[in-house]
Parts: sequence; C-alpha cells; structure tokens
Amino acid sequence: MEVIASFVPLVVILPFVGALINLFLGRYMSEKLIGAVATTAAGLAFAIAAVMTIGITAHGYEATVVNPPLLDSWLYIPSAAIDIPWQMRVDTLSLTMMLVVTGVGTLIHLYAIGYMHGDSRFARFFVYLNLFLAFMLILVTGNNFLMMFVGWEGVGLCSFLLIGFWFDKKHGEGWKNSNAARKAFIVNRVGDFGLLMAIFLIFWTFGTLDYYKPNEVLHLEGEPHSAAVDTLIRAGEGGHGGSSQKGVFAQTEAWLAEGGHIVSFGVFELPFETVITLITLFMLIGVTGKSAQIPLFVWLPDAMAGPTPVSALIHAATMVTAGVYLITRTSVLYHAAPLSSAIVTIIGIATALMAGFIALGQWDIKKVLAYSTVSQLGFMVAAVGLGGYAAGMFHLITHAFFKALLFLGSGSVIHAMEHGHHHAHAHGHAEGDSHGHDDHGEQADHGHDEAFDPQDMRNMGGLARRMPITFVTYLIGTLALAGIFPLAGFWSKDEILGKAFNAGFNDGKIEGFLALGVLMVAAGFTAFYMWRQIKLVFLGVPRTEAAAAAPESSPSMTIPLLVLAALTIFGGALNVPLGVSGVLVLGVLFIMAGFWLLWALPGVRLFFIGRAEPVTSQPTVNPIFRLIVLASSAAFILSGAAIMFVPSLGASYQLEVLVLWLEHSVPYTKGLTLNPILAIVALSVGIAGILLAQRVYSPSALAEGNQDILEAQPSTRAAFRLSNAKLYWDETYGRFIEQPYNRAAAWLANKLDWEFWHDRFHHTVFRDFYKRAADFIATPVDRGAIDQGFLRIARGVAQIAARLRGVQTGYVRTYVFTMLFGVVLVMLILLLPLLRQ
Amino acid sequence: MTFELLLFIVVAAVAIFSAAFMLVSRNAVHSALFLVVNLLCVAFFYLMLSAPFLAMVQITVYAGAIMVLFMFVIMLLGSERLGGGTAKYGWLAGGAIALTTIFLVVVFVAVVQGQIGALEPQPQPPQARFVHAVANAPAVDIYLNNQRVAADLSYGQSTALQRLLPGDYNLLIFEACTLEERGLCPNPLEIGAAPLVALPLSLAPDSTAAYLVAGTPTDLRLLNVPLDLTPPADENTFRLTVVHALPAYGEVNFIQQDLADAARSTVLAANLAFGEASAPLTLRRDTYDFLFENLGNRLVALRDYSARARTHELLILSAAPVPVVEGAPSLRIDYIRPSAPSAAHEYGSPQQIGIEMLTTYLLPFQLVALLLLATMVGAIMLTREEVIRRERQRLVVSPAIKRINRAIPINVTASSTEKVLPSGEAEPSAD
Amino acid sequence: MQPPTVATEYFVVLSAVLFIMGVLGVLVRRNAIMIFMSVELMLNAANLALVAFARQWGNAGGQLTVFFVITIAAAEVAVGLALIVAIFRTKKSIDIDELNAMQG
Repeated sequence: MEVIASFVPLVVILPFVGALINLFLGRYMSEKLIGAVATTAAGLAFAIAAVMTIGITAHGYEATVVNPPLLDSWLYIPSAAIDIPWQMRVDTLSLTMMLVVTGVGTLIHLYAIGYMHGDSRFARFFVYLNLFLAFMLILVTGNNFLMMFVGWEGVGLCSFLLIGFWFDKKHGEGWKNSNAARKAFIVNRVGDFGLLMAIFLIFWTFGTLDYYKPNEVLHLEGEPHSAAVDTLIRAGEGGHGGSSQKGVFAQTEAWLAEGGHIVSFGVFELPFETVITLITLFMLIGVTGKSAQIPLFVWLPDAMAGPTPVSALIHAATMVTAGVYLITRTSVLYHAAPLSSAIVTIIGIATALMAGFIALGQWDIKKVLAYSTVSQLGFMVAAVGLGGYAAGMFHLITHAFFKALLFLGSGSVIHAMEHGHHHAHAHGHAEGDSHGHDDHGEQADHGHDEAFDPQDMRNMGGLARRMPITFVTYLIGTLALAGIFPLAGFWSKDEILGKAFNAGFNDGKIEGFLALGVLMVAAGFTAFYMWRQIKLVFLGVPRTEAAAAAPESSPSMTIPLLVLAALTIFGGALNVPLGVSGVLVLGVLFIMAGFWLLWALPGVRLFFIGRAEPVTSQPTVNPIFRLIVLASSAAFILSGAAIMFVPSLGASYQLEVLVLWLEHSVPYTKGLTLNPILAIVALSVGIAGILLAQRVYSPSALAEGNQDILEAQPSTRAAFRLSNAKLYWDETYGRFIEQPYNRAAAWLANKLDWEFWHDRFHHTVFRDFYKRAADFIATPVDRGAIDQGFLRIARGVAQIAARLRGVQTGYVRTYVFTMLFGVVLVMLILLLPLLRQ
Repeated sequence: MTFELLLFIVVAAVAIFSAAFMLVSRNAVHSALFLVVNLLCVAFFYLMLSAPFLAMVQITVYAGAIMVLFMFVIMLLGSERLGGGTAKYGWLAGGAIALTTIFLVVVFVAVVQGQIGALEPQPQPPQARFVHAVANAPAVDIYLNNQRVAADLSYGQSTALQRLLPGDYNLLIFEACTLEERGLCPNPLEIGAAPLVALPLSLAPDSTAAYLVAGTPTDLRLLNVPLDLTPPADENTFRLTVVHALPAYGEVNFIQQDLADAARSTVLAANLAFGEASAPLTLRRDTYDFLFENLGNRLVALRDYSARARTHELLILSAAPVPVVEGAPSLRIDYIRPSAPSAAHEYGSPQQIGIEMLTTYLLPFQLVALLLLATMVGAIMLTREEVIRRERQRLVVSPAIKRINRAIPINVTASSTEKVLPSGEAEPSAD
Repeated sequence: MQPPTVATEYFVVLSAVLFIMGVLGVLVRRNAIMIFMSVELMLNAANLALVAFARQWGNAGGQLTVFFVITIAAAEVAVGLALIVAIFRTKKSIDIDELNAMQG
C-alpha cells in the first residue's frame, strides 16, 4: 500500500503542473489543447485517486501517511518545538474527498471547454481551475491542520480569482463581478480568523498539528478498545520509542480518558474540555465562512457572478464542502464537545431553513441554486453536528453530483438563452450559427433591450422542448434534490433525518428534535422551489424570443450532464441504510437507468415532450444508433430485474458501503438502520412540495406583469417579497457593519491622518520648524561664522606664505649660509655636553 | 718642540696663507695657483700622517688633474678679471664671519676639552687559529659554542687566522664529519653527539693566539700560544715560538745547532715541559739547524730550517702516527710547522690600502667607478650645443608672466567677485 | 706603527681653520669658479681631519674614505665645471647673483 500511496503527491502536483503549463504556454496553445491539458491533469489525478482507492480496499482500509520528497521538514523550528512536516494522508476519508473533487472536477473541466469557448482569457480560466483543484487536494490530503489551512486559503484565493473572472465586463457589470469576488474573499477571511484561532489553540494545547502520527490506528465501532484512536506499534516497526508525541486526536482521547487534564495559558488555566469546546467553536466560525452558514453565507449568492463552471465546481461541489470535511475530520473533537456539536446543529438547521425560504422568491436561475446550496450545506452541517459524520459525507457526495448537475444544466440554459437572444435579434445571421461572439452576457453591438438578463427565469420557459437533454438531466437533478425515491438525494437526506430522529428520540438531545422538524420543513421548501424552477424554466411556453430560439448545447456541455445524471441515479447505492434490501434498490436503479437511456431516442422525446416550435433540425436517427440505445436500455432493465430476482447476483452487494468505508478514518462513525416511517414521511414531504408547486404555478408560471404567483396573491405577497429581498441580510450587514466601518475609516483617513497629522502636525511642527532651523544654520551660522572663519584662516595662510616666500631667494650664497648656520647649530648641539665642562 | 712639530707649524702656516691669498686674490688664475700650493701642503701633511700613498694620490689627482681642469675652465671663460659689483646681500659677509667665528670657537673648545689624543683606540677583535697536534686522534671538527671554527682537521693541520668575538666559549671537539664535501654534515650539537672533549676557552680583545689541541686521545689539552703578528722592528728578523706538545715526555730543550762546531750550539729554549710554549724568540732570517733533545737524548732534528712566515713562526714538538707494524712503536716523534698566518701590512702602505679597498671596501669602489662613468657622460651631455640653446630660450621670461606673477595678491578677500588683478597693487616681493 | 708625535688635535684645528676659510670663500665670493675652489678647500680640510684620525686609531678605513672623497671631488668638479661652462655660454656671466631665474 505504501507504494501505491506514495503517488499521492502526484495528485497535487499534476493540477499544479497543468496550471503552470497553461500559464506559461497558454498563449501558444489552441483552446482545445489548453482544455485538454487541464482536463487531463484533473483526469489523471482522478485516476491516481481511483487506483489508491482500489489499493486501500485491498489492504484493509489502512491509512497511510506519505512524506513527499524534499518537503520533510516543512516547518521545523526546534527552539519553538515546532515540527510540522509536509505530510499527506491517504485514508478513506481523504480518498473520498479526492475522488469527489477530482471526479466532479474533471467533468466540469470538460464542460468548461465548451462553456468558455471564445473567451479572451480562456487559458487563464483553466489555470485558475487547475490551481483550485490543486489547493483543494492539498486541503483534503494534508495530515495536519496547517496543510489544511494552506489549502483552505488557497481555495479561497482561487475562488476570488474565478468569481471575479469577468471583471472587465462592460457597462459596469465588471464592477459587480469584482465586488462579488472581494465579498467572497473578505467574508471567508472572517471565517479564517476563527479557523486560525482554532489552530493556535490546537497547537498550544497539543503541541502538534498532526491529525494522526504515522503509528496510530483507529479502532472501529464494536472493537474492544479504550479510546477511538490509539497508538499502535505496527508489526515490523520495532518500537522506536523516540517521540511519544501523539497526534491531536490521540492526545484528545488519552486526556479525555484520564480526565482532569488542565491546559495552562500562562496567566490562567482552563480544563481540557473547555478548551476543546473553544477550539470547536472557533472552527465553527471558519466552517460558517467556507461552507456558507449563518452568519457568513452572504458571499455565496453573490458568487454566482462568476462563470457557471465555477459555480458548479467551487460553490456546489468542492470548496463549500471543505467545512463539512473539516468537522468530519475533527470528529473526535466535536464528539468530545457536545455543546459545540449542538451549536453546529442549530446553525445548520437554521441555515437550511432560512436559505430554503429565500430560494422561494428568487428570479435568477443561479441564485435559486445558490440558496439551495446554502440550504443543503445546512443539512450537511446539521448532520455532522448530530454526530452523523457518514451521513454528512454521504450527502456531500450526492449533493456534489446533483448540484453540479443542476449548475451545469443551468449553465447550459443560460448559454442557450444567450444564443437565442443573439439569434432572435440577429440581422442576416444564419440560424444555428452559434459562433462568433466572445464574452458571455455581453450586449455587444446589438444595442437592443439594454438589460436582457439571460439568467432571469422570467425570460425563460418551454425550454424542455428546445433542450431535451438538458431538461431531462435537470429533471433528474431536481428530483434527486427533492429527495425522490430511488435517486441519490432520497437516500442521503433520509440518512440525515434518520440521524436527527435517533438523536432526538434515542439519545434525548433536544437539538435532534429541532433538527428533525426544521429539516423536514426545509426539505419541503427544497422540493417546492426546485419544481417552481422547473415550471418556470422548462415547462410551459417560451416567454421571450430568446427562449424560443434557444438551442441545445454542444456535446462538450451535455456529456458531463449525462455523466452526472448517471452518477445521481446510482449515487444512492453508495450508502443504502441497514434494513433495506439493497439488492432491491440496486435493481430498481438499473431499471430506472435503462428507461432513462431511452431518452436518447428522439422519438421518445417527441412522445413525452412534444415538438418544439420552431423545429430544431434533428438529423434522421441512425438506425445503428437506435439499435445500440435500445439494446443497452434493454440490457439495463433486464439486469436490474435479474439483480432483483436472482439472489446470487446481488448477494455480494454491501449495505452502508460508505459507512464501512469511512469507519476506518473517521472515529465515531455510526451506521443507520432505515426507519421506514421516517422515510415515507420524508418522501411524502418531497412529493407534497412538488405537487404544491405544480398546483401553484399552473396554468401559467407567472402572473400578470411578470409577477410571481405568490406575489400576486395578497396572502403570500409579504412572504414572497421578504424572500425575494433575501431577508435583507446584505442590507443589514451594510447598515450595521459596512457603513460604520466605512465611516470610521473615512474619519481616520481624512480627519485624523490627513488633516491633523499631516496638515497640522507635519506642516507646522516638522516642516516649519525645520525650515527655520535650516535657514538659521545656513545664513548666520554657515555663511557668517564658518565661512568667515575659514576665509580668515585662508587669508592668514596667504600672508604667512607671502612672508615665508622670501626665504626662497634663488641666490646660492644665501643657501650656503643657511647650510652653514645649520651645521654650526648641529655642532653646538652635539658638542654641548663637552663645552659645558 | 720636536722637529716634527716645527715642520708641522711651518707647513700649516704656508697652507693657511695660501688659502687666504686664494680667497682674496682678484685674479682667478692666481687663486687657482694658490690653491695648488694649499693642496701640496695638505699632501705633505698626509706624508706626516703615515699615508704616503694618499699623499701621492692627492698630488696626482687633486693638484694634477682637478686643478688643471680648473685652469682649463678659467682660461676658457676668460674670467681672469672679475668685475667688482656690489654684493646684493651685504649682510652675508658679516653673518658669515660671525658664524665662522662661532664654529672655530666650538671646535677649539671641543678639541681642548675633548682630549682627543688621549682617547684609547678601540680594542680589536681577537684572532685565533687552531692546530691539531694529537697523534692517533681522528680528524676533528672544532666548535666554539655553536660556531664551527675548524672542519675536518686532521693531525698536523691548522686553520687560518680567524677573527672571533671576544668572550668565554665552550670549545667542543667532535669527530669530523666525513660528508663535508657533500654538505650533509649535521650539526653535532643538534643531534646531541657527545664531544670528544669540551674545554673552556676565553678570548680577550686585542689578542692573537694559536690554540693547540694537544695530548693523547684520552687526555686532551688546549694549549694557548700567543702570537704577535705586528711587523718586527727589524725587517730581517722574525719571531719563533716553540711548543712542547709531546705527551709522555719530560722536559725538552730546544737547541740551535752548529753542525760544524758542536760547542757553538745555543740553547734557545730550555726545560720546556709538556704543554709549555717558549717565549717568542727573535731570530734573524737565516738557515738554521735545530734540535729537540730530552735529557741528552735526541728527539728530533730539523735541518736547513728557514723562516717562512713574515712575522711569527710556530714550531710544535709532537708525535706523528705511523703505519702499524708488528713489533714497532706506533708513534714517532715529529714536529709541526703550521703554515704562516697572514700578517698585517704596514699601516698606510699601498699594500694595506689596496687590500682594504678590494676586500672591505669593494662595493664603494665599484659604485664610485660607476659614478665616475656617469659623471663623464653627464659632463659631455651638459655642454652640448643644443642644450645650451634650449636653456637659453627657457631662461627668457615673458613679460606677461612677469606681470601676472607680480599681481598675485597677498590679501585674499572674502568675496569672490573682486577682480583677480586689482590695479595699483604694490610689488608683492617680500625679499 | 709609531706613536704619533704631532698630536691629532693640531691637525684637527688646522682642518677647522681651513674649512672656515673655505666657507668664507663660498659665502663672500661671487665668481662661480671661486666658489668652486673654496668648496675644494673645504673638502681638503675634511680629508685632513679624516687622515689624522685614521692615523690615531691605526684604522686604514679613514684613508680609504679620503681616497673616495678625492675621487668624488674629481667627479663633482668635472660636472660642476661643465655646468659653469654651459651657464656661461647661456648667460655670458658667471656671477652667481645673476644666476637667479626665480620670478616670484
């Protein structure tokens, strides 16, 4: 396993290399090549992660710590007892994250090739994407908190770069993008403060930042053990009792077991449990920043200003999940601080509810998805707060699939809307000509309706017929998000609800009850606003010419959609809870997939959706293609049936795969037995949400004047308006934080610094005094006294010289006389003692 | 008042008067001739001072060459008659007389008080030579403290006369190192070799002596034989010292034999014990027959002995080794006549001057020769025509330069805007 | 070496007197050649003193020094007279008071 795991540095290096290649050679490469390099980097990273996954499975899920060469002593300050190596950890949790990040990342890279086609800074985009991937991988593969923080900051940076990618958009739009980028960065920074405090406390308390030292193992549930994490001397390693330094989690367990450990802070002391609570609370601040919880979620909706692939990758699938990963990784700490876990849960459920409510009233297609992301993150955070670490990770994975799918789908829709807009107002442009413009959203030289927003759902409608592939994948994503059986979202959401139920009814925690209730309501909201979106965007009739002219997207965009849709369908099989016949589920999924495959046939589409007007030119279907589709569909259906009814085939199917998988790297991971009543209630809530939305938004999706139906009805108008105004979060922050801050800054700058310090103090005190002193020194002192003195000296010297010049007579005889004089003098001196006698 | 003193006074008066006339004379030729007279007086003084060679040189070079050169130039320049002219520096004469008077007074007082004549001459460093007079002893190296004074000295050999520093020494005799030619002899003191004998020796200044290593190999002695190397009063005589260095023999008589008439043999030195040296005998230069006898036994005879040294001869009675023959004694009585040391020449003689010049003063000699060469070349070059012409041109002072130089002001004013040549400035000459 | 009969002091005094006269000659006379001859007189006086002392000590080095002095005096005379000839040719006068080219 060591050999396989030793490739993990490559996982980080490959995206870096890709970024570097695109950075330096990007200007010489074609778009396809750039995209290929970036996607290959991500793909290779995924391949390595996959190989490592197979490897770790074959080796008993043992974690491996890898020291990349050359970075052994990354931070080594012996005098301060700091020894933080650049160590990477390959265990099931980090592999999970790696797979999700690189897998979804690769698909989105592929998607972005088509989406960003024609952009003037095409290469730069992929540089940033690869860079993001590299940093995210550092975050998840780090074996200590500092590496995680490096990755944390790095993804924050890349998020900034990517959100503000179109900072030069015309008509003032560029400012919006850069403002959004800065907002994301700064709000993240507030969260980073919390994380840093937590890291400082960890270092102070434990003396190390490593999660686990290389010779520690986790004990699984059910094993007789004293602590969840223990030090074990591996067979073969004759105990090098050198460092008794344990990793953070091992020390936590040890100290909790012995009890009564005190942490000294110099002037005061705190019991260990309190310190743990402090650490976890500080970390929670960081999590709220990165994972967009209350109160630091405000950056996420604004971040939709970036290109859609960015939204999909970063703000749906990967970066925002860093917070959930963090809590999962530090499960030991949270398990030891029940108060913090409760607060985590409360924040999670509050966020879920609030964001779900706001999503109801949004008009922008991506804003809906953004708030949906915030809401789903609240689900995940609540799950890990309740101790359901596997549940939270499960939802993370499935959410990554279908949220990415939804975002990419929305991107496809937006792309189509733009194209449709161009062609609807094109003069002399051939229909179907979808090339020839560069920036997305640019109004270019058409000069038509100044504010046509291709992302506004009020301008869409009836796109199902125009974009069938996008429609069906979007539909699958929506159903998954709403928690409809047997798609992935159903299973993960049910796991979370089940955890909440257990926490409330079995463990007696109050937050469990709260979570159950609130999350149910939030699930209902989810179903409602997602179906509302389907109604507004895809169903009905096109409300604008742009919508009427929107074409289906190119395969480079639709293929990732299809792949993600497949993952969404089968994603649930990852962690079927106990008590369910997994075989049955698998069979159903196969059958479903088989039917879904039929959608590839135009005839099927025609039957279900109807003809699109005007007719999109569809080439006649290749009979061989039709045969292949039919055959594979039949194969799936039949195999599904076979799995269901032939016992031996599905016998090896494991339930709770993810739990088993994560057990080995996340202490206190527990499995879940399905509560059928809960499942049915959740399902019915979801279905009810959909039906309600269907009922509300029929017959037409909008009321007169492009108003929302709910807005039109007086009973729900206030609520709708509140939701549309995003609960005035931004305005509140602006009023109570930004404005006072700006005013204080302005006062400090203008009044204090400029007027007082600079004008008054500098000018009066320094400058004037200095000038007067200099004048004084210059004129009377320098010119008067010093100059005069030197002049007098010079004059004196000249006079003396004139007198002395007389000695040089030029006459030999005087010289001889002088010599004689000298001789006599010398004689006198020499013979003086003699003469004295 | 000896004759010499009288002579001295007369010649001194002549010298002074001639010098005075030389100074006063208006005619340059007369002055030169008076100077010649002065030089001749000085040459006479040199003769009085036992410097005959120098006197001749003085006459030849000074009076004969230099004054002739002066004559040439005087004639060339035609300056027999000199214009009077007022001396520009009238005060010079008075000042000169004053200074010279002081000078004279100082010298007089110094001479009177300083007791020049009574000063003792500096002591000369001692001179020594070493003689090996031990039969059956191997060749030796002789060290005085750390200094090797004799190398590979075998029986009967002696070193040359060496000047050494006065003081007390430790005479160390080592076996000679046979690798002398190859220069590989180590310092026996450094390698801690044991000397054959170590004897104390003290050298006094102004002493000249020969040191004999005599005795038997087991009983070595150092014999100090003083030498007198000054030239004898009578040129025809020489000094002879006889040394008894024959071990195991009693008192020895040294007899000058008259082979024709045995009764006319004279005992020159009687009852010389072993290790004793006779007093220096002064003998006429002639051919002699000498005899060493001990209690009536003839020890060794010397036939047709004539002195080789100029001043002091050394004759050592000793034993010489013979090749070992069965039944024959291993020693036979013999004598040693060390080679003659070099004597000093007479003071002031050309020989002494020549030897001194070419040994001690060789470097100044060469340098002065080079100087003369340079002088010749220089004199020729100086009198070339173009040099004269160029100098003539250079010495002409342009009126502009005269004006500018006159105008350099002594008082430099503070402000630099004043004119450099203010009008009406007085002559800045301070002399 | 015989003991000196005429004491060295006499020679020294004589040497001083001759030296003085030479100095006076240098200072008083204006003819360059006269000055030169006075210099020769001074040199001789010094030589005399040297030889006197050499005899007193019996050191031949004094005589040798005199030897060198004579030699160098000869050289000096040669060069000096050449200079005088050259100057005479230039300035047509050997009055040293006129041999002043300083212009200050």
